Amino acid sequence: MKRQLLAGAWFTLLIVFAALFYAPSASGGEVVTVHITARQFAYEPGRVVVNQGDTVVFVLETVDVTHGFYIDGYDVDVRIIPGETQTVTVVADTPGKFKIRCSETCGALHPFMVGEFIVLRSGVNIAFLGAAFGLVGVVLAATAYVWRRGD
Amino acid sequence: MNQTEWAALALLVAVLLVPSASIYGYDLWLDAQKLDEEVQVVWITGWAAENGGWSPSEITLRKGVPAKLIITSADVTHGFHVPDLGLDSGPIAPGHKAVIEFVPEETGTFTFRCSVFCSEGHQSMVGKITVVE
Amino acid sequence: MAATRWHVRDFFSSLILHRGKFDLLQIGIINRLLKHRAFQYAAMMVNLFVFWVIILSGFFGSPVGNRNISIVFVWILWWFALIVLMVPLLSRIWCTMCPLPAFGEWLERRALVKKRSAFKYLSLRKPWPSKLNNIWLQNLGFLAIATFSALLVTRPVVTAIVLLILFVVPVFLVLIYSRRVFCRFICPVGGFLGLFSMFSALELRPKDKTLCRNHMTKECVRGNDNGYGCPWIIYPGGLERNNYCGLCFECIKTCPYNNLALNLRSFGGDILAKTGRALDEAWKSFIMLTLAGLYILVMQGPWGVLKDWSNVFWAPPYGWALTGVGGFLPYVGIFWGLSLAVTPSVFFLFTGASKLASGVRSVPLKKLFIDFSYELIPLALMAWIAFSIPLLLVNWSYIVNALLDPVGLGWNVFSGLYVPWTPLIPAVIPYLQSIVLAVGLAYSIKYSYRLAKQNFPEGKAALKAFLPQVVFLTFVSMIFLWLFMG
Repeated sequence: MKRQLLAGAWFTLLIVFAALFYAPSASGGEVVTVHITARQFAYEPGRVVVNQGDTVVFVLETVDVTHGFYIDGYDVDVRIIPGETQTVTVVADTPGKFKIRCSETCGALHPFMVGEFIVLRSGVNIAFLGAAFGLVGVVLAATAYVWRRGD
Repeated sequence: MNQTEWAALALLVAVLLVPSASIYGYDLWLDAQKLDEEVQVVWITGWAAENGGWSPSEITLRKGVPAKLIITSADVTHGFHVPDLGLDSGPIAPGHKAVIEFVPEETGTFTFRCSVFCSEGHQSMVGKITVVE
Repeated sequence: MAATRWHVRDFFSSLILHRGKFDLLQIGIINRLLKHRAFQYAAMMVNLFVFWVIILSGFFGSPVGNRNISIVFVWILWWFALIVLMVPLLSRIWCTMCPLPAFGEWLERRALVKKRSAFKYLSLRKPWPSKLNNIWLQNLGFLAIATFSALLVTRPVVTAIVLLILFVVPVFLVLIYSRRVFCRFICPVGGFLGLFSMFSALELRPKDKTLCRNHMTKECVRGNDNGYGCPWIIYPGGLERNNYCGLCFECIKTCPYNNLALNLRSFGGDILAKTGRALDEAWKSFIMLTLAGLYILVMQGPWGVLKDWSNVFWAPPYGWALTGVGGFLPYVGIFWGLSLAVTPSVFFLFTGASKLASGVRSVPLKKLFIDFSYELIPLALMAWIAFSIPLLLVNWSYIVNALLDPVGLGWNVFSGLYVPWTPLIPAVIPYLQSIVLAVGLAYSIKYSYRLAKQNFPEGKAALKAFLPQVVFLTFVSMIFLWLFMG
């Protein structure tokens, strides 16, 4: 009985999360300007956190060699050339964590030149919360499974 | 040693020789290219100024003989630009190569530069082509 | 011996439904292939060719990592294939075809393929020091390599030098100690392959142990005309775990009773095996789990300062300087301190909590500590798999280009053909990583309970002891989840 309540509660919350993920967002819609400096081998700042629906204006510069600026899941791929400022505008319509990758070979650690673009929903990292929730579900299910088997 | 052992040994020798011979042979072929009387072939590697700049940075060509410049970038994207001769390779990404074929018409000294912003030392990434009789 | 009929359903039954085991040697073609003396040689030669190209390309090819086959084939292609495909499914199958010990082995056997009948090893045959009869050298060796991995996986020449050393060292070891001491005690890959192979779906085991006990001549260890005695210095007739069997298949050639089976089995089969449990293996679990987290944090995270530190002499924004060491030293401290001291200490606290919760005083804390450490294997393996997913999905194009232009200097075998860098479904990667992590967590929880039950067979003690372990596993998983998604 207790186990069924627990499972029921977990599933209900799961539906709630799914709904939160796909329903229209509460906040967002602002224009956010982010200055990013690319260098060997990182972006400064490395993490950009915005709200879903925000229009993000990336102002990009490099202090050393030519770098690239590519965002997973968003159609962004530009080259940042020393001496020039590159501007890219993105509407953060999908929540989650998206890596920013350097798309222009810039030296030895180029494949590890990574930044993060995090789109919150109602101020919350819904992807992480949802996944954490899912993980807790896995823990409960696995624990219940071994408890029942008992052997 | 029976047949299988001989075959195995032959395979071992082949496995070790084929890649070594390929690389060595490629080197020889490169050198042979440079001795070509009909076409002057020059291989140029671009490094950022902080890493040494163009290699070689001084090139001598003969007037009137067709020249072929094969340029590659080693570390980051560069470009090969000789303003006074009107030669420009465009951006060359590391590992890629650009080929410029032309016939030097006049003697003199011509500077070549990097045409793609590559590093802080980009402006000092220069070299010299000297055309002689 | 007549070949028995087997059915495809048995094959799937054992692997997926956890029912019984399926002996692959029942399949005629597999049986003949693995018993053929030329099989291992051929497999090694393929890899020797590739490794040799990699070494030459490391020295004479492009210094740009993603353009050079050395980096791309070793740290993207081979690493991915090893940790995602070979280890979970096929145990130490890489060791079957690894070319590193080849020269040593051929030298001491004075043969490439065949088995000499009047046979003497070309070696001093000194016994391996008993103090080193464990995986501590490999634990520390792997940590040492991990510490310098920013150099190793980005500079082709460093990969080439390390590979060259790994080719030469086995030769010396063989001449002094004979057989596969390099593979057993030195090879840094072997260290974690052994541990993770406990989770694999493949095993080599004797079919009937009583038969082995009554069989006095023990050809599997001493060799006969068909093959050599086990070069991995184990006794095939007594095999209970995958850890130190390198699947060289000499024993299936020598056994006069065909008493060895190559079984497909359910995942995690060896975690509950009671033999061989020791502190060195426990520490390997701690090291692999910690390093998975550190690699994800440093290499795939956005923290530039950590990457600078990992690059040894790197002093940003552009240049090498001795001042870079100012960052490298704390980096070394973090790697070694977390792996060797912090993770084990935290785990020890939870072990203590488990013992307290169980209410049983008779089980020694040290035994619990060691036993429970094996529950970390599925989680650690899945964490490494999760780390490796983006390596392939994002950088697969480098592999194709490396095939077209191995040295990276513009050879282009198929002139001009070049695949642009195109990550595949990159936005989905964090979700894939989380799913893989969840699978690891589920298996770890399952085995944690079974390990508790081994120590606390009576009543509810196992359940109570197991709960602190669930907390620990969940806590660690949340850290990984935050690294992927947070």
